[in-house]
Amino acid sequence: MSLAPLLVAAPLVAALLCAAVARRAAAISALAATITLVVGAVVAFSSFGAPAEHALAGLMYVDALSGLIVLIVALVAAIAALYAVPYVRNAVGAHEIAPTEVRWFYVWIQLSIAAMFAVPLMNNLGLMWVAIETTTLTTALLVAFFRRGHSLEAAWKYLMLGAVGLGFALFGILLTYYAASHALGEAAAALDWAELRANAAALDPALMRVAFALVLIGFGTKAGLAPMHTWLPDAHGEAPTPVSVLLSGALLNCALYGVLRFHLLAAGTLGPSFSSDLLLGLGAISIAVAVPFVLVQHDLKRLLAYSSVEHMGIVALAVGIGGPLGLFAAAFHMFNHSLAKTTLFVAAGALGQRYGTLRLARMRGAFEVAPLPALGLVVGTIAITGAPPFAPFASEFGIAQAGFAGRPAALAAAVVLIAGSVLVFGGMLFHVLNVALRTAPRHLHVASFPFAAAFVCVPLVALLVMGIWLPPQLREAFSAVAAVLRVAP
Amino acid sequence: MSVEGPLPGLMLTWQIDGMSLFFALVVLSISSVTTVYAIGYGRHHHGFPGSGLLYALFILAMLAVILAGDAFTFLLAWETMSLTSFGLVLTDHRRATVRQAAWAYLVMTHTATAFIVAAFLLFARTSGSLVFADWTAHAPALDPFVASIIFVLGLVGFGTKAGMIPLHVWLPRAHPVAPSHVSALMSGVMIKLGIYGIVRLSFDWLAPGPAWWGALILALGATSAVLGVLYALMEHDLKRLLAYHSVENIGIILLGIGVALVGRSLDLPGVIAVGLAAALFHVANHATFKALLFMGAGAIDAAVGTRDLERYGGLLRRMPITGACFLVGSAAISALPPLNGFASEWLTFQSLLTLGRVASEPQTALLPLFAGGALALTGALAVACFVKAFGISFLALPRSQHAAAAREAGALEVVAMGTLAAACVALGLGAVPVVSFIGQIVPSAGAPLAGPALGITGVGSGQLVVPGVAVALVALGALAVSLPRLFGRVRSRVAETWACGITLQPLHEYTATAFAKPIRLMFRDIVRPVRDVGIVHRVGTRFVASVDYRSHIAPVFERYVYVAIKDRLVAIAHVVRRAQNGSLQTYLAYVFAAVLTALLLAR
Amino acid sequence: MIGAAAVVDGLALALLAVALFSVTIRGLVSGVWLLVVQSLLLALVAATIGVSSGAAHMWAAAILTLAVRAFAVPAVLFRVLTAVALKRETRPLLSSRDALIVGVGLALTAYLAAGRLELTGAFPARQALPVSLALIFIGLLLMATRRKAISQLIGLITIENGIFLAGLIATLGLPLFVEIGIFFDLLVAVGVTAVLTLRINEQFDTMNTDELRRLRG
Repeated sequence: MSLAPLLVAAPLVAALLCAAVARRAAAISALAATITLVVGAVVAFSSFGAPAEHALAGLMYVDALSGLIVLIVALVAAIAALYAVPYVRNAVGAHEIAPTEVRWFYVWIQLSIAAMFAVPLMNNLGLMWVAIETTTLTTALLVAFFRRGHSLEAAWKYLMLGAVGLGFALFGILLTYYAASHALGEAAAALDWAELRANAAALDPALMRVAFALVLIGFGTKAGLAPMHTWLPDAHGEAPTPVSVLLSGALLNCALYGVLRFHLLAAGTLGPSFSSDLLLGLGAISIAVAVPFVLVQHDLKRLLAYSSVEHMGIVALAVGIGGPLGLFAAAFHMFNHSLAKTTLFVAAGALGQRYGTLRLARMRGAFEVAPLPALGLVVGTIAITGAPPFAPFASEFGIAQAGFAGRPAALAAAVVLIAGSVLVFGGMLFHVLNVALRTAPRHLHVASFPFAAAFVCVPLVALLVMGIWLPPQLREAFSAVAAVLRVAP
Repeated sequence: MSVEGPLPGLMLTWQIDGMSLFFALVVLSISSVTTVYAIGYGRHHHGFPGSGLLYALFILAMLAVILAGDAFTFLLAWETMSLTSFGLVLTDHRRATVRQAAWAYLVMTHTATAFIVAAFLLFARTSGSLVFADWTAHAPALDPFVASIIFVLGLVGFGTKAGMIPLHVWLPRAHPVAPSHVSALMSGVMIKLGIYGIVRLSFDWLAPGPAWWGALILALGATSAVLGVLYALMEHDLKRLLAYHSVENIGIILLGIGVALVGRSLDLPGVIAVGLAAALFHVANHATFKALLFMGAGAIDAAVGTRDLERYGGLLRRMPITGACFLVGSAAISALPPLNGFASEWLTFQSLLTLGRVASEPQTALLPLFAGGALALTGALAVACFVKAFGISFLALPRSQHAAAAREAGALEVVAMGTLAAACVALGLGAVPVVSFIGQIVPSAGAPLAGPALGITGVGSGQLVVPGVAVALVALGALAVSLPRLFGRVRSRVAETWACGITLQPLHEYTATAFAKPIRLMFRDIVRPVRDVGIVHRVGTRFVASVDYRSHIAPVFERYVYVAIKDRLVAIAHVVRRAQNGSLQTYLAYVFAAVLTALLLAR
Repeated sequence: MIGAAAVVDGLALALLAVALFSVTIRGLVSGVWLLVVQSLLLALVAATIGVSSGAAHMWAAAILTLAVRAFAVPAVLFRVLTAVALKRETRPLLSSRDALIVGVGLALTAYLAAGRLELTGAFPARQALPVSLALIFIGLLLMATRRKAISQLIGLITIENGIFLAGLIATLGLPLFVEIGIFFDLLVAVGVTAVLTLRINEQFDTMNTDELRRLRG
C-alpha cells in the first residue's frame, strides 16, 4: 500500500479546510506542507532502492525519477508554505493583501502543491499533461495575487504562453498516442507510461520524432528553456515570494520531468542521439540566453529567475550529455538548484519586504538591515553559480566531466556550460554584493522574519556538506535516477 | 589516503611528496608569523564578525591546495582559498574602491579557476581519472597537441593566481586593501600557490613538451619582472607598491621555472635542477621578505592612518624597530647581499647563464641572455624603488601631523616582524644548506648538489659560490665606507641646512613622485605617466593659491584589455536584452519559431 | 464508412472557413459566436465518427463538446464582454485583408506539413488533419495580431479546437478520462483567463494588451 496518493490528497483536503476555516488557514497550510514533506520523503526514499511500483489501481506510477521530483516538490513546498506564514503577515501589514483574501492565498498554494505532486505520480501521460496544465492555472492566479499592474501583466503572459506551449505538448502526446495505438492495437493503456516504455521500440520512428519535438517545445516552455522562457522572469519576478519559491524550486522541475519522460520514450524508439542532441542544444541555448540578462539586470527576483533559466538549461544539457556520470550529476543538480534557489528567493523576499522594493538600485546595505537574509543571498549566490566547495559545483563538475569525456557535441556543450557559469558568477555576484554592502537607506519597512536562521543557514550548510560529501541515501537516490534515465546506446 | 566524494567514482585524495612538503613549510612558517602579527593587530583593529574564522579557513585552504591529490579536492581547496581571501579583502567594505577591487579579484580568480577546470577535465578525458598520480602515469601517452592546450589553459589559470603579467591586474588592487596580515599572506604565500600549480603542471602532470613552453614562461617572467618593478616605482601608495613588487618577484620565480622547463624539453637534468632550485628558493625568500614588508607597511598604516608615501617621513625616529625591520626587508627584496633575496636572484642568474651555456641551438641560447638582462635591470630598479620607499617613509622630517604623532607598533607586531627579518638574514647566510635542503625534499631540484656526478660541469661550483660572492660584496661595501675613515680625516660638522634664507618645512623635502621622476621619464613609453596639475588662483588675482600636482600611470592592461572586455560584454548584453521587449506577440513568435525549427530538425 | 468520411471532410473544411472568417472580423461578440459555430461543428464531427465507428465514448466527447465548448466557454466570454462593455477589436496589427492573406498562407503551409507527416488516421478523413494544423496556426495568428485580451483568448481556444480535431481524427479521441481532464482544464483555463481579463480591465481601465508591455529585460 503506497502512500503516494496521500501526497495529492493531503494538499487538496488542506485547500478545502483553508477555504472553510479562514482564521486557521496559515496553520493548516503549514501543517499540510509538513505532512507532505514527511510523506514525500518516505515515498521518495522507498522508491530509490526498489523497482517501480503502481498505486491507486494503476493510476499512479512511482519510480526513482518520480521519487526525485516528489522529494524536491515536498521539500520546496514545505519551505514555501512555512515561509508564506510570515510573508503573508507582513504583506497584510503593508496593505498588499487584504485580510479577507488571505485564506485564498493558502487555498491556491495548496491546490498548486497538489497539482505539482500529481505530475510525477501520474502513470498516464495524458493525465500528467492535465496535471501540468492545472499547475499553470493555479499558479497563474497566485502570480496575479497582488492585483498590481505588473503582476497582472506577468500572469497574463504566463497563462497565454503556458497555454500555447502546453497546446503543442498535447499535440505531441496525441501523436504518441496515435503511434502507440497503432503499435499496441486497441488499448486504453496506450498512454500508460509503463506500457509505452516497454514497447517504445515498436513505435513509428517518424511519428515519435515529431512528437518529441512538439513535447520538448511544449513542456520546455513550462520548464523555462530558451527561447520559450520569456514568461519566466515576469512570473517569477512579480509573484509573491512564496510563489516564486514554488515556481522556481518545484514547478520547473515538474515540467522538465515531462520532457525527460518523453526523452526516454523517444530514445527507446529512435536511439538516444536524436532527443539527446535536441536537449543538448536547447540546454546550451538556455545557458547562453540567460547570461546577458544576468549581466545587466535591475530587479533582484528577475535576476534569480534568469539564473533558473540557466540552471534548467544545465540540467537539460546534462541529460543530453548522458552517461552514468552525466545523468547522476543531472539529478544531483536538479536537487541542488532547487535547494539553493529556494534559499535565495526566501532571502530576496525577506529583504524585499524590508526595503519595500526589489529594484537592485534601491536595495543596499543588506548586511546592516537584515544580516541573515543578506548572508543567505551572498552565500547562496556563490553556491548556485557553481563555486566550490558548494554542492552545485560538484554537480556541474560532474556534468562538465561527462561532457569532456563524451562526443564532440557534448564537449562543446560543456565548454558553453563552463563559460556561461563564469559569466553568470560575475554578473550575479556584482548585483548581490551591491545589495549586501554599501550604506543602508534610512527609510525601511517593518517586516518580521522569524526563524531566519533555520530558513537561511540549514539549506546553506546542507549545500556545503553535499559539495564535499554526499549522504549514502542521496547517493543511492541519484544513482537510481540515473539508472532510470539511462538510454541504451 | 582518500575519502568518498560527492560524485560516483570520485575519491577525495590527499598526497604528500617533497614538493607539497616544501610549499607546506612555506605556508605554515609564514602564516604562523602573520598570525602572531594578526593577534597584535586585532587588539586595535576589529574585523567583521567571523573574520577570524575566515582567516583560519584561508590558511587551511592553502594547505589543502598543496596536499590535494586529485583534481576535485584541489578545486575545492583552491576556490575556498579564493573565497575566504575575498571575504577578508572585503573587510573595509564601506569604501567603493574596496568593493570594486574585491569583486574584480573574485571574478578574475574564478575565471582562472574555469581555465584550470578545463585543463583538468582534458587530463581526465585522456586518462579517465581525476587523480594526479594517474595523470603523471598517463602523461607520455598524451597527444602533444592536447598537451599544449592543457599547458596554455593551466598557465592562464595558475598564472592569474600567481599575478603574472598580463593577468596581474587584480593583484595591485586587491592586496593593498586587505588588512595587512592578510595582504602579507596573499602576497607572500597565496600567489605562490599559482607557482605551485605551474610547477606541478609542467614538471609532474605533463610529459616533457616542446621548448616553446619554457620559452613562453621565460618571456612572461621577464615581462612580469621588468614591468612589475617599473609600476612599483611609479606608485606612492606603499601597499600598492609592495603589491607590484610581488608581480616583479613572481616574474623572477618564473625565470627559474622557464629555465628548468626549457631544460626539461632539451633533456638537460642539470639545467632543470638549477632552474627549479632557484625558483623554489626564491619562493621561500619572497614569502619571507614580502610578508615582512607588508607587516611593516601595516604597522606604518596603523600608526599614520594612510598608505600614501607622501604623508610619511621621519618615521625611523618614531618607529625604530619597525624601521629596522623594514630596512632589512627592503634590502632583501632589492637583492642586496648578504640577504636572502640576493642569494636566490644570484641563483636565478646562474640558471640563466647555465642554460645559455649548455643550450646548443642559438635561439635557446639567446633567450636566457635577454632574460638575464631583464633580471639585471629589474634588480637595479628594485634598489631604486626601495631607496624611495624607505627613504621617503622613514627619513627626513614628518610630512603630516599624523606622521609626526606616529608610535611604534605593538609588541606582538614587532616580534612578528623581527622574526621574519632574522629569517631574511638567516636564509641569506645559510643559502647553501637551504638549497641543499630544497634539493633533498624536491628530487628534481636536487641534481646540482650531485652536479659533477650527473656530468654537469660548472653548475655545482655556481651553487656554492653564493655565500662567497655575498661575503665578497659585503666586504667591498664595508671597505668603501671605512676606507675614508681609516685613511682620510673625516670631520663631521653639525649645522643648519642652508635654504636660501627661507625656513625649512617638510614641504621642501624630496617627494616620492619627484624621486621617481627620472625613471618615469626614461620609461615613459612603457608606463605612460599621466600628470594632473591643478592650479588654484586667489580670487580676483593671478597669484597662485595652491598647486595640486598628481602623477599616476595609465592603467594600460585594465583599460585596454579588462575594462574593454567587460564593456563589450555589457554592450552585447544591452543589445540582446532588447529581445525581451515585453510584447506577448513577440514571445509567441519565439515559441512559433522554436516549434518550426524543432519540426524541421525532426523531419 | 466512406460517406461518413466525406461528411467529416466537409465539416472540417467548414471549420477552416469559419476560422478564416474569424481572422477577418473585428467584432468581439461575433468572434465569440464564431467560436460557438466552431464548437458545434466539432460536436458534429464527434457525433459523425461516433455513428460510423460505433465508438461509444465518441458520443461522450460530442456531448462534452456541446456542454463545454459550445455552451460554458462562450457563456463565460459573453459575461466578460458584458462586464467590460467592449464591442470591437481596435487597430489589429494586420488589416482584415492582410490577415486573411496570411491566414490562407498558413492554411496552405498546414496542408504541406500534414502531407509530409503521412498520418493514416484511425478515421479516413483526408481533410481533417491538415485542417486541424491550420486551426492551430490560425489561432496563433489571432493571438499574435490582436490587441484585446479577449481576442487572444479566442485565438487560444481556436488552437485548442485544432488539437481536439486532430485527436478525434487521428486516434478517435484520447482515453475518456484523459479527455474529461482536458475538458475540465479548458473550462478552468477559460475561467481563470476571464478572471484575469476582468482584473486587467479593472487595473488598466482597458483590455488592450498594449498596456502589458512594461516588464522588459
